Amino acid sequence: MSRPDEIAVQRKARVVLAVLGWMTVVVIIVQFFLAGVGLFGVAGMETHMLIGYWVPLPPLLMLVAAWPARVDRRTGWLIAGLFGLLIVQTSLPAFRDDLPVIAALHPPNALLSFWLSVVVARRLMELLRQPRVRVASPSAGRDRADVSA
Amino acid sequence: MPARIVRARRGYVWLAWLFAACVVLQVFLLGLEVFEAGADAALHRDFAYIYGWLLPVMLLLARVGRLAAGIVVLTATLLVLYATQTLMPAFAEHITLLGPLHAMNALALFGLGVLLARKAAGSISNEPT
Repeated sequence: MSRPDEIAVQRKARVVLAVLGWMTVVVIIVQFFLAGVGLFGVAGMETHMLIGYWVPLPPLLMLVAAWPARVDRRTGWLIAGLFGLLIVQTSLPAFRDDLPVIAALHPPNALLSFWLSVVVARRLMELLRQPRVRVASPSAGRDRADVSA
Repeated sequence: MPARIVRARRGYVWLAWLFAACVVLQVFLLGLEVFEAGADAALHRDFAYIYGWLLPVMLLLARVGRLAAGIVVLTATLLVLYATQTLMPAFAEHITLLGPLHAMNALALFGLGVLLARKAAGSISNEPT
């Protein structure tokens, strides 16, 4: 792949990352709304549960897109952490019969997931605004080079 | 910067983080009720009336600490949101949307608490020594 092509791929991957990042934030907000719908008896919890199983999908796709986007290590770990937190989130209610205190961590974990999702989304926006895109330099003796996007 | 102002700002930061932590604890109390881990609705409700008093103190510290007008306004906003949060369940029987909004407002309370803690902390570290 030529360097201009590589830069274009990185740019597109970063756009995808930013979209997925904010999508995760919005989905978590929607989940809070749906939890309220269920808790206050407006409707059941079925929609909240159904969507809940899909919430880790955007961060999973972010992990895939992180490689062509060449995110920095810290951002990569934050995305992985968000994915892990959301997997835990979907698992916590399953403990309600045997360890209800563990299941009770489901709502506070949702708050922490929201916080981390906003941190990740903001970092991805900063990444998108960066004027330079790091590419792997083909020249000998240099691992990376900054080139203008 | 006078020591009194620095102390007021530090106090504000501590209280803002404490407020955010109390919101987390409160939703945990809700979780204990929902997942039948031995707590009842009264615990979730009554705890709110304990930590709500942090907000007027934060407003006072924001003024004493001469924090930026934006922070003062957001603190007042947080106070209004908190007051609204305590009222929503009572009216949710008559206005069904208030129930789900109560859940979403918890997000806003937590997020704003964290934001204010970080902004105020930044105002301390940004001041020239």
